[in-house]
Amino acid sequence: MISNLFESLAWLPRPPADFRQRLRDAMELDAPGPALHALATHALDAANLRRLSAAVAALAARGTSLAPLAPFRLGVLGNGTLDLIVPALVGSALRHGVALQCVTVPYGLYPREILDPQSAINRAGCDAVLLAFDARALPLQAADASPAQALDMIDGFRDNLRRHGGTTCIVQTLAAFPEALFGSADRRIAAAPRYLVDAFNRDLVARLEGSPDILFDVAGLAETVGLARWHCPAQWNVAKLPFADACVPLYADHVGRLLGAMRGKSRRCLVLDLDNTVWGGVIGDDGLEGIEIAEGHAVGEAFRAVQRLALDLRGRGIVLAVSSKNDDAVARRAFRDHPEMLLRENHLAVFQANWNDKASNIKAIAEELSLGLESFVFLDDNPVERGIVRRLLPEVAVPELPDDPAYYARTLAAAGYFESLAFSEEDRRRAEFYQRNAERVALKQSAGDLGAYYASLGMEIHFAPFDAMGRARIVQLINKSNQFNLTTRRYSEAEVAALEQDREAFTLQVRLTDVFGDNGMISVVICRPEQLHAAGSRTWAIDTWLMSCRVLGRSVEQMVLRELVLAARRRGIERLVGRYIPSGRNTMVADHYATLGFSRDGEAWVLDVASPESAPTMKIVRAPTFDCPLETRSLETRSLEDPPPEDRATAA
Amino acid sequence: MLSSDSVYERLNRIFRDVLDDDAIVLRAETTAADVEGWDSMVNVQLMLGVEQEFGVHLSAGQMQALHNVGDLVTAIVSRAA
Repeated sequence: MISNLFESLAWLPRPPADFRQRLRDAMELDAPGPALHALATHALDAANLRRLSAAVAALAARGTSLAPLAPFRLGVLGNGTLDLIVPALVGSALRHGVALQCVTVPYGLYPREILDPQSAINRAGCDAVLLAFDARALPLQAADASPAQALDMIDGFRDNLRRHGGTTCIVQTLAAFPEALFGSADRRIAAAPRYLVDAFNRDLVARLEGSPDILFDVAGLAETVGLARWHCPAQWNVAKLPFADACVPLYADHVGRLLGAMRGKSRRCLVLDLDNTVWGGVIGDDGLEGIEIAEGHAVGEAFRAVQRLALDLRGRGIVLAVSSKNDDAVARRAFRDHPEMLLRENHLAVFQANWNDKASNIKAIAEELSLGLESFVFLDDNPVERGIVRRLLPEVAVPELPDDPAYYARTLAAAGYFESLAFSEEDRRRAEFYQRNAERVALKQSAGDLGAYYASLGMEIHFAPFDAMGRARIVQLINKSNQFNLTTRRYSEAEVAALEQDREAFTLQVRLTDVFGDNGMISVVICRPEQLHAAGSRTWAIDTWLMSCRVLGRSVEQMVLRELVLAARRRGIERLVGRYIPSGRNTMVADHYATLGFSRDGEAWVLDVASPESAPTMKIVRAPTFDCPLETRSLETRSLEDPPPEDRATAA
Repeated sequence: MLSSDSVYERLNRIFRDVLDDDAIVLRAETTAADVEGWDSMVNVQLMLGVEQEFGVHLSAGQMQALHNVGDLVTAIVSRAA
């Protein structure tokens, strides 16, 4: 995926399996614009782009409005076969907020169309005409070719289209061919193809200065992909495809960006997650010294690249904000006190570090800055957070990120969210205009129903007692977790190993999987017999309860408690006693036991295990070695509708 | 080695996708004349789809030598082996 990050549109999520059905459903809506935009916001191949294009044409024929998408009529002229490209342009334009209608001419007829004032293209009232010419169309092939002659030809096209059609042109730079003539000297010898293309591109930029016409840097795009991949001689010969079909979705997306920019649809604000997005690690657990951000450090440099890109974007007028699940003071410390941080609080307009869902936070940021949600980009390494924002705030652009953080910055840049046609002094100052100095804004209302989203994740919670296989990770979590950690008791590997054999203790290691994959071990619990209680009372003290903040808000705590309650009953335990020991870093769980229904008893919290346990909100999987005498199958998996046997026993 | 049954199954999928017609069922003797909408531009898309799906490349000369779907299947099986 990394090797073809660009052609595969890797920043876009893969399309849903039922894409065609969703498209049919969208077409029945009275206002299908937002649904089409959402469907287009996937990494679509030629076939799906063609389906979107057909849908747009059918809806236009019915007279259905595609608002809030901006209508745009684009003439498309070129020397190659455009049949595969035009539908891709229409489908991709939807992604950029544009309802595109294309005007084309029969193959090979473009010179007449341009010159004749009465031609279809000149009478169509185009908002712009895309001049999709490559080097083959221009007098750049012969030994005595000159770039000036080729540029004069393009100038002639532009003049005629402006005069006869009243239209702006989108003019392409030329992608050089990979076939060298002299070798390296192709850059120096005036008769070499590479020299001619270079000269053409340089002078084209100069000639567009002061003109309303727009530059489309196809040369840059082709170089990014690789010229050998861009140009496909077989496809040119067979079908006159001006560049390889594999590059069509990328090319079309780039045209879409330009059209979106012409319609003011480019995005203006980048909201950043912090842990494992802007630095490596979790600052609440790893501490200020533990996060990875250092120059000269392989992991740290990946995240520095994200920070540098964010800063560069700010320099060109993009507003920066933060939305992070963190303790506010802890997260701000990195910006204030970490010497290697490039981003500082004064670069950020809004700083939201709290434990609420990110959709509600982004909504609050948008309201504070008086920017529409369609101006926002949200960068987060966590697929669940990305999914929440996509679902609840579909206007916000949320790039997919590859597994390797080294590619985060490249992926964000490749997405082209901030396409701009020009750069003015006003742009330079815009970020300062929005500057609120990392202000924290109040959440006004929740952005929507998170329960339905979590239910769609296909979560499976896996319970097992401590064992040798999980030991290393258990020890790591016990000694590292600070935030969601009720007692912050640290245990050595030997002590954890001893717990595996301790028949008095009850231990849990908890994993969570979902449609995005395995989240790994996300919670650890240790219960021991309570010594302080009156004789005859069978009580477990919850010695340790910790959880990864990554799965916060997904009812994992409730499920773990449920498991504790069921296990306690099986062992004849009557009460659970929990304690919250403030460590200065675990304030987020101060109300943990109260929220879970425990009652206060002095410094402790007590729960009678006879009180009914909560209903499962996800699938439960128990390990074969687990203390679970009523189980008969070796690896138990159950659906929500099929309660485990002990549930039935206790309900009876 | 690809079985020709599985090649037909995958070809059906490509053809249905390109022509947006789920009723297409290809046979060895099927030609462009038998399938509505199979024109030269569709043919290009079909060939691109085949190259992508099977990871094979057919030269222009090899494409010209194909007379029906059976020839195409033979060409795919012999190259993808």
